Amino acid sequence: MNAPLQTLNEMQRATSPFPESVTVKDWKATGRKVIGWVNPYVPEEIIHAAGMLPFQVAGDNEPVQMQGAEAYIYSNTCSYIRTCWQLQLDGKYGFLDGLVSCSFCDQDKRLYSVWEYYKKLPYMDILYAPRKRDEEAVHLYLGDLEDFRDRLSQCRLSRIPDRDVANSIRVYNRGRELMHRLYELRKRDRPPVTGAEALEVSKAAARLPRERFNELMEQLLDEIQRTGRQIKKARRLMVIGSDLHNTNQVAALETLDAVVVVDEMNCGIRYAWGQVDTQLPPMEALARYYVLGRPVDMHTWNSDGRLEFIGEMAEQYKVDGIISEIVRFCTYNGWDKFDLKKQMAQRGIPILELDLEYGHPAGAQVKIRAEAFMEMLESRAG
Amino acid sequence: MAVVGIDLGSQSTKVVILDGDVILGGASLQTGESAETEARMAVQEALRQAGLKREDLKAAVATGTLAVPVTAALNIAALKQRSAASCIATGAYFRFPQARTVLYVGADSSMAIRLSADGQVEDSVKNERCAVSSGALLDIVSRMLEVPVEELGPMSLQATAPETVSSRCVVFAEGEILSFIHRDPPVPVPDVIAGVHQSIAAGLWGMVQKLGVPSELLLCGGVARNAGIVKAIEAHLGKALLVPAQPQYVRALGAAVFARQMEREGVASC
Amino acid sequence: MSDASLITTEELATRLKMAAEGIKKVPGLMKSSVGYMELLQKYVERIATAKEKGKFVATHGTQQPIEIYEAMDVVGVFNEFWGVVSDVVKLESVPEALSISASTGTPGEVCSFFRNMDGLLHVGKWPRTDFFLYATSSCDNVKAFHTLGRRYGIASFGMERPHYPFTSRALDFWKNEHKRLIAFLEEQTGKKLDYDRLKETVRLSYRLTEICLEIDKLVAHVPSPMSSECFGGVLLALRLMCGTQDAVDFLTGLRDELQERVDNGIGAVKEERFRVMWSSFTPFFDPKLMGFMQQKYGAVSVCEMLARWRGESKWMLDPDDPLGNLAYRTQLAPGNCQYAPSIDWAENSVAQARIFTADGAIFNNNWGCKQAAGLGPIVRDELLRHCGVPTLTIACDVIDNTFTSRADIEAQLDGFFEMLEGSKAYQERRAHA
Repeated sequence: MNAPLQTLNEMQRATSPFPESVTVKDWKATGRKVIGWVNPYVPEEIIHAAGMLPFQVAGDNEPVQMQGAEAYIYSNTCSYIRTCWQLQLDGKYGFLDGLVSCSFCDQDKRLYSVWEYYKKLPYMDILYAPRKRDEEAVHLYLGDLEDFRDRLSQCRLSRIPDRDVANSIRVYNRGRELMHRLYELRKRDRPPVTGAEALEVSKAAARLPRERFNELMEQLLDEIQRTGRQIKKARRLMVIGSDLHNTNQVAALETLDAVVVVDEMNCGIRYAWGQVDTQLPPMEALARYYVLGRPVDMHTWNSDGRLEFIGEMAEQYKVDGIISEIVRFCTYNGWDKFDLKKQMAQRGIPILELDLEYGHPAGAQVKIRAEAFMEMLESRAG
Repeated sequence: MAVVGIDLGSQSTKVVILDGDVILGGASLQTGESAETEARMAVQEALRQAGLKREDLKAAVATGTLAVPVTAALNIAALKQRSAASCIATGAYFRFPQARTVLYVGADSSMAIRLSADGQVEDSVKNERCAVSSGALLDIVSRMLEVPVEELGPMSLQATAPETVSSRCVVFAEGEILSFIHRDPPVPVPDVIAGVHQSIAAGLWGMVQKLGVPSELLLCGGVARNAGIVKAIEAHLGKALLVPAQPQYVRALGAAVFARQMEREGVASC
Repeated sequence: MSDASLITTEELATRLKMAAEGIKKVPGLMKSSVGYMELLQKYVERIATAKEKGKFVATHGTQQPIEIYEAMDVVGVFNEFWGVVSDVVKLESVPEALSISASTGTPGEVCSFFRNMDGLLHVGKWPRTDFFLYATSSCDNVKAFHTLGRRYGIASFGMERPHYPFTSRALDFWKNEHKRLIAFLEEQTGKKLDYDRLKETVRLSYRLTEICLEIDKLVAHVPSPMSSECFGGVLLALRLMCGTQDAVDFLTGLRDELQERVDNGIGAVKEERFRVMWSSFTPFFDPKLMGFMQQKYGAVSVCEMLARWRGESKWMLDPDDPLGNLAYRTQLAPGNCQYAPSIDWAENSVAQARIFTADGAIFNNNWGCKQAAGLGPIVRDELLRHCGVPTLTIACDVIDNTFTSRADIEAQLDGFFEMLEGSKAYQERRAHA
């Protein structure tokens, strides 16, 4: 049995209670602002350069019961956004000074509009995350970023200069580099962290001032090396699909003598991917990174790259099986199911498809299917 | 002048005979193979209680899911139909004129209605597709736990640590409840029932919220007889619910009130 | 249920022809109901005979610049309306196709317009298609075009535009996407676009807009002259046959008939008791429902948001810049702006409620349409707050008739119209009329 990671405990302490953590309270106490974002095409670097704290709006480990949210967003919608809105109704996101949408998906757009209509925050803005990955898209997105920078600048005394954006890029790049290292370590036969622990790290990155996160991440990697930690489980899994923030959902899979060694989530591996090019002018560098610099994700119309990426990661991380968890009503994930299954079958990698409600523990049906899947993986290995 | 209100629900027929402000009789019968037969029998039973004959009824209003197919078979003169929402609202207002929001929870559906100060329907919503916020889940739980439906309420009040049911779908909720029963050690029955009540109440509360924050909230329909559901909803409301006696008759009562109005306005002619 | 339930292009064409003949014999309908069926039939006939005439066929999504297809002689198949049109003549086809789609693993919670296409493609019953064309201008489901294109070896091209289309940068970008679309089509067809022809199809399309606005004025009349059997005609002309003389002729005929009815005091029903606006789409899943509402409640449909125009909608800025005009048009058709911040759509809904003096709104909450489900409550609240118009939300599937029972819908309609009748806002409106 491995001892809990001290640094991870500290990350969790610093991001507790959810969502208005001690860190957020301290931040606000100094008169500084917090700007919420939902999907990762809102460049946190610009918010950081403005001297504000970017904070991902999401759920956490406690399931959130719908108690009124569906009066504002009907229930035939993604439970991720209904969870966020319910938390807002419960007063949990009262600390936000602004919200920025990147029009990532239908739900992102509508959550933003609902927030704008029923609880308008002092700063609200919309970007557009291109569905195509090409030069025209970079150019369009760059225009949006420039406008975003200008408008956000109006919330402070001066225009956010390029040099501050460049500095923020360096800070965020460092975080990506450190998170990437942890992902690399998980390629080992005996990875040093469980999937649940790794997800907690990813969450912390999106909820803490990036400088603080970087410090803690360095400590974490150091602690991992010092303790020589190893997770010994029979099966290696990959989790793909919708973003999960309830680590219990991942932990539940890992009770079945398995360890989640890699994911394909926007809040996971893509959040840690690559580097913004510091050789380019900073705003252009951001545009290129956000549009082209990360692996193809579910919102890109041409999903060829996404399927390819999943297959490659599954092979690089030597996974025994893939858990494809999709939050109900997710159109993007829904349309990839058929070809995903086919392509993974061609690679000889079994997939288990699960439909989930965001943030809710897996029901009995899901557990039974997961167990059966694990037994099947075991018999393949044996 | 006696009038009658007939609520033709998918599971049972309920009849109320009204004279002025006095309820002379009421009857309820399970809907069986032939809905018409049960409906006729229910009317007969209510008449028997009231000591009246069919000819004594001066006006009639029918409502409910089966109102359209069944009314012809009832052979009551001048039978008119009114919508379920209007009848629920009117019946609730008759019992509690201070009610401003009415939550009706029936066997397989539920509805929330906002009333004006003079008892008119201002807005209404019904439960969405899944029957989890209605009596349907209680029927399932009753069968699974082998506890009669009417005992679910009192038993849930004995719970010490209600076990949350998170599923929004009846089918998955069933699976969850099964896992509670088969856990080692099993979750105590009162805790299972209380958890189910909380889940139902959460869904109903969400529905009620669509009409705005309720002030005076009245609960009616068959499920309102369940003290556990009442308690679970009151936990959200933060104060006592208005619950009429014999809440399952509210819709039929509302229909009877409309019949009375028709009779007084002279629009009911035999 | 079996393959026999599924409608093919040929069968659809045949049945529409029969329907067009049949409707002539039904007494009491508007004359234009014949033209409506004939336009539908012509549309499907074009698709059925396209290949033998050596034409390219594009299955496309919503809010496309169909004028470009017309100018390049490419026959369009609007994927969404395939389900709508098949419901007109063969209700059992859609549920069967959805069932096939489900069997391939496609979740039931995505749009059934697309699931219908998915199912029919899977068994080879979708119209033969050379390429898929789509745009951001609707929702996330357009991703299915690329996915299905890959699966069936069909080339595809998607145009995108920012979610907030009201800036000049957005418009420039969007205009450039039209150029890229043309480049794609030229490559696929091996033919160059004749810009003079495009100017002509755009001119015809603009003529459609003008006639639409004239029709709006007539329909806004109290009592409204537009009866349910022709109500869908405007959207049909706009979305299926935009840029054609046929569509202009049809709408001109419809307008003339409506004018005649207004001149002679003829309303859709003898006693117009309620004026209904459709907050999103009309009940495609139940083609007889609007007629039923007219008959039972005297409830006349006066407005559907998908077919609306903003203000005077003068989108023909420069006859020599057809692409610029088409790009600009997007801002002026609120139907297009469903892919835009909710508040804009809601404000437009309020404006339309006033223009058409609506008494009530019905929002068909399509199970698989999460973008509308996130929009519905705001529209509901705005309509009530600003013009006292309540909304009935019906849980349904946009084209699957089996999703909700008719009895259930009727019960909801009963309650809704009773409530409307008793409401102060309704009574005041009637007193002023």
